[in-house]
Amino acid sequence: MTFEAAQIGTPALDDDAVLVRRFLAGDDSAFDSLYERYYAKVYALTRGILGGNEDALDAVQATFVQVWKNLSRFQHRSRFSTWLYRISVNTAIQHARSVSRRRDTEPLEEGHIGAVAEEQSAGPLSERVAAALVRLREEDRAVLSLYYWEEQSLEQIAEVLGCTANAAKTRLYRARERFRAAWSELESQHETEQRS
Amino acid sequence: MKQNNVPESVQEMLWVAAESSDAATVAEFERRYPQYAAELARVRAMVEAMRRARPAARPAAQFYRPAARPASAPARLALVAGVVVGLALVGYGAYRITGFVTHRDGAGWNGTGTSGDQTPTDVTSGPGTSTTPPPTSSEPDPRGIAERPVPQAPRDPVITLRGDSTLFQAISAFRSAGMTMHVDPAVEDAALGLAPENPDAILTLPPEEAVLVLERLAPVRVQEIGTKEYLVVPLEKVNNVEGPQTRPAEPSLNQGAPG
Repeated sequence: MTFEAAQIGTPALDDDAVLVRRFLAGDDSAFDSLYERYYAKVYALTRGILGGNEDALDAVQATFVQVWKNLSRFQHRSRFSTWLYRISVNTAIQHARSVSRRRDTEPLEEGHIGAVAEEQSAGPLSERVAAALVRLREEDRAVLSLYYWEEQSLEQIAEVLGCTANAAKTRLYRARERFRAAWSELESQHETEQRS
Repeated sequence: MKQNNVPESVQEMLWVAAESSDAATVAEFERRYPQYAAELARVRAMVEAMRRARPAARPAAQFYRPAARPASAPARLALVAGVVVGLALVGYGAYRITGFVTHRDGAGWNGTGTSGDQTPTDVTSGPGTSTTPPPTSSEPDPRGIAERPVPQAPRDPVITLRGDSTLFQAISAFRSAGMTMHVDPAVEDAALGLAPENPDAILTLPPEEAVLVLERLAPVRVQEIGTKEYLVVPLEKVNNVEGPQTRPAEPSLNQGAPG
């Protein structure tokens, strides 16, 4: 667990459930508590999927609006965080696709991927990790973010993605292998550049 | 995609070792697969970089709350039920209005149909038995289509009287049938006694016969003074006033009158 994750901690199920019930009973401050508690986690996950900071901020806002609107449908069958991550992943993937479509219709800026990587390198994402993630599909990025950053178990990832644990394991394996291939490619490029 | 040379059977163990923070696990992998120790070191570095790359916790940005608070599940259910009931009412209302309009159309044109080869323009001359008053051209079209000609009644109007009708109710029935009735202020209401034992009985008569019934059962004279226009006066006024517009008194009533 990273230091930041350890600082935020994972709230107990009862805490979340109590806050959810308080909000549904009309206490808006309970939602504020949930928002503050999970904002950083949702932001990290969303940024892992989307890459860009601005897109991530928009998607995080959209995620919490979805949560606000649909909290009454939360059945407490899973942890609140799992339900929240599911909304977060779906919102981020939809956002990524709409951004991608928008960019497809606009004139392609030269070196767009490099620009994204550069933007990410300005933040806490290391340049090479960002560049490797950009080469993956959104679904792969979601699995890797959940596994490495949010430290979700395979069962939890399966719940978030709406699949079996075995399917989640397979997805994680493939995402890791693709990430590793992208990482190696970037490493080779870097070595070539250094030699030249 | 760059291929690594690690066999499939070793891949899983390599990942376990790379993601493990346990030095013994790493050492065990290196002992068993020394030829892949370099690959393990590379994957370990990659995993570490990935873990460290987690975006830092930022201070929560302002959450822009939607304007309306979401409805709870029961409230949504009630809303859906309300919408369903509303749609049902609208549908029922449309059904009733359509039925009313169809009925009105059907009444007018069916009358045309019963008059054989008559056209809608000459239906006024046909006989009829309907108890509904004839629509006139001045009536507004219920569907709001001003251009469409309103078919006139194919039959002469009839007067509908009940078994317990009074004189004034009978006069109202004349008016309802489209007659213009002038009633002398001296006329007083009185029970006609058409069928007092059966007050709900309905009697429909042509205006001429209805006039005779009124004169027979009430102390009034009903004089036709124009097309569909009648004057109702008390019987005693008729007997005392001489004039061209007064109808000759019934012989039975004049038997005792001085000649």
